[in-house]
Amino acid sequence: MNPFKILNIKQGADKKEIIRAVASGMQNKKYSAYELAQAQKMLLAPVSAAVQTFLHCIDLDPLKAALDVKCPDNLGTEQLSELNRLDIFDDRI
Amino acid sequence: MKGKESKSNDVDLERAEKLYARGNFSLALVEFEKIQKKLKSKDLADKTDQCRKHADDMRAKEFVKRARKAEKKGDLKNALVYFESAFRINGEAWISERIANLNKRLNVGGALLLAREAEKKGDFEKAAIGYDKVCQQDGAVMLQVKRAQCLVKAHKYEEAVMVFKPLSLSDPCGCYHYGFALAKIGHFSECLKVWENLSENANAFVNQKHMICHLVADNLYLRLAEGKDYYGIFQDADYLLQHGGAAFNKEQIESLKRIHQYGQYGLIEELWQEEKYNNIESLLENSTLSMSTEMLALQAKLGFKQAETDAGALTALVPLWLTAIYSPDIADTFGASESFRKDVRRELIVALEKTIRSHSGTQWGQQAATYLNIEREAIEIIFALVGRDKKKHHLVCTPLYANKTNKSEEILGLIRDNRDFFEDEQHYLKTGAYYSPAGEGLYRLKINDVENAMNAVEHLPSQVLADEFVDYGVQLICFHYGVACIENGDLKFKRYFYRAKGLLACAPDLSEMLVNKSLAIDEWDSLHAYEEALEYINNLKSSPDIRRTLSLVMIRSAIAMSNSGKLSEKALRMKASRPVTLYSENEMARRVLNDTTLSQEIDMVFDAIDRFKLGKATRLARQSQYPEVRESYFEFVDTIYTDIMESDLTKDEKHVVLNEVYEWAITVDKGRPIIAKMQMHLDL
Repeated sequence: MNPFKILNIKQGADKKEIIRAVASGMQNKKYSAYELAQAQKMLLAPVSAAVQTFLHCIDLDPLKAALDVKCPDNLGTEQLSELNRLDIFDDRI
Repeated sequence: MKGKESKSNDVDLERAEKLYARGNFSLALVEFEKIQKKLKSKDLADKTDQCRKHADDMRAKEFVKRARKAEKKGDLKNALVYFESAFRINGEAWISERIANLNKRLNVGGALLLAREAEKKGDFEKAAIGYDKVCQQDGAVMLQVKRAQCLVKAHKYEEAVMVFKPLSLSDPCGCYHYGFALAKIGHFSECLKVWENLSENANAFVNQKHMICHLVADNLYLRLAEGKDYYGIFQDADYLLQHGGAAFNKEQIESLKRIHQYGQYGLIEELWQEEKYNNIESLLENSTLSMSTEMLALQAKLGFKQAETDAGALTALVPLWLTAIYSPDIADTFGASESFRKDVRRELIVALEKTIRSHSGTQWGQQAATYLNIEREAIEIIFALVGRDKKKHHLVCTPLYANKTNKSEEILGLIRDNRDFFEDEQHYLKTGAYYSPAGEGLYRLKINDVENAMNAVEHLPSQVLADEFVDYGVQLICFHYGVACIENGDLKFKRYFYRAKGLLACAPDLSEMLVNKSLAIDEWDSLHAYEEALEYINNLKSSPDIRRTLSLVMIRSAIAMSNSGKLSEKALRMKASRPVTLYSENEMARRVLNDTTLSQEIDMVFDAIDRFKLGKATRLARQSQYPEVRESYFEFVDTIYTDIMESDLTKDEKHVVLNEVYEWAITVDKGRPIIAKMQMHLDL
């Protein structure tokens, strides 16, 4: 059971957001009241919330942030308009 | 007059019949029709029809013959005219099909000619249209390629791509133009993939390929900024790194590697959201991503998700999961306080145990449960040893994980440096052994796979055998293998116990295990094997524990032998004395010894009585430490008193005999009621 999926919220959601998500879940009836209550319980208790976060969420942002992905200066100079058809292949079968 | 006319008709008819008979149906028909006009006979009308039919067939055949001749010469127009003539006569279906085919060929030929002329003049758009027309009628692949090439030359790239796409291209010209058109509409990476089939090394073409590689790379940076389609970014970067290396300088390649990595992270996040865990696994399997704490956590979570439905994933999960949740760097993300982190860790272990239990019916589930205990015990020790020393955080891992990531040596160093931390020698050696090269065998041993545990030992390189941890592990495995030999009735056990002799001195739990095993069996054969094994161990390395175990097993073995009639009571008494010597507190042995000695003394008393050696019987009863012997003696005295009293002896005779018995009996115990009874009788 993934409480984040049931409540349609992201990791780190605060109490208000969790309660709001439960109310919204009640309205759209995708999950039963029991499932919503369980999910809420799981995310409101701090230890349980930490456990559920570890079980269901991944965070690779620190790894992405550590990578320099700016375009090097010497790239990006090519122009598509400069691409001209070559005739060296003409009539080659 | 009438007779003359009739004669003329007969001559005409005869001539017509002759022509018909010769197969000259056309002339015969003229004659028949002439006569019919005059006679108007029904029979003649039928004959005329028949003749007409034959004449038509002949004509049609002639036209078909001519048509075929013309077609053969390539004169399609005349062939068409002849076939049409034949069809007008007989209306046969096959001629109609031939006419349609000829019409099509005549049209295609015309269109093809026009298309070729247009291409020659450089009017590629018109040529493409012409080829299209021909293709619609003919469908030849080469003409489709021609059409698409003309579209490229006419700068109609999108249209050209549409035409090229379904074609299976093998000719270099077609491949080049398809790639070119793809590039022109911005599909750079697809262009490169199409051009892969060209082995052309001309500078102009190589430069174009490099140019396209740069355009793909430029595009990657733009797409990365949008933060979408990580799959495409990853794929394109992967392709460039694998195939486009020559187009980039060192700096650009390093940058592409970072893009590749970034795309991979983004893709993993997308796949995780979509719960496509197996896809992530495939991605990671072929990946070169370094093992950071984030990646460790990811792999642990991934393993957990897979193990929920696949028991086979449990074995790999246990070391990953424990290493991740005990990792101080990962645990920091749980919460600020150590007690909170501890609670979270405990709950995460509970979650793992729950998953393992859900597969308890499988071999994997049982193995994982065993491995979890070993791994957890080991990592908790390392976790405690490392403490909050950040420089050593990377060492917090389970034995299996350490082995996989080549950290075992470093961890063994940590264990050696902290010898005082351990409860005792065995605790220290056992912990180190799991992280040592002997660990693999020890894991096997724990799941009762003794055979493979021994195999692992046999394959250890000789240079590691001297290591204290390896030595401990090897001895432990040898000991258990020896036990397995005993259980299987294999006499080789001595060889393995010999290898484990050092361990037997410092591992009381092992002799305890032997006791428990021997206590659980009743069969004499098995007990005797244990006795023999322990005797051997005792000779190798005697210790109080081993002597105690040997003593317990020996007496059980002797009792089992006696119960099965293989041992006399005398022999049992003799066998019972050694266990008491080995371990004086062996209650069972002492009891057997007592019981058998008592029984023997009673037997000796009765034996002496039977041989009328009352003095000897009295001495034995007096000297015995067992009151039971004296009881038996006085039972005899009681019986003999009654026998004397009830005998036919005279009073004086009774007195003499009774006095003799009395004199002996009083030396054993004068307080007995029978003594008083005899004394009273003698006094009278």
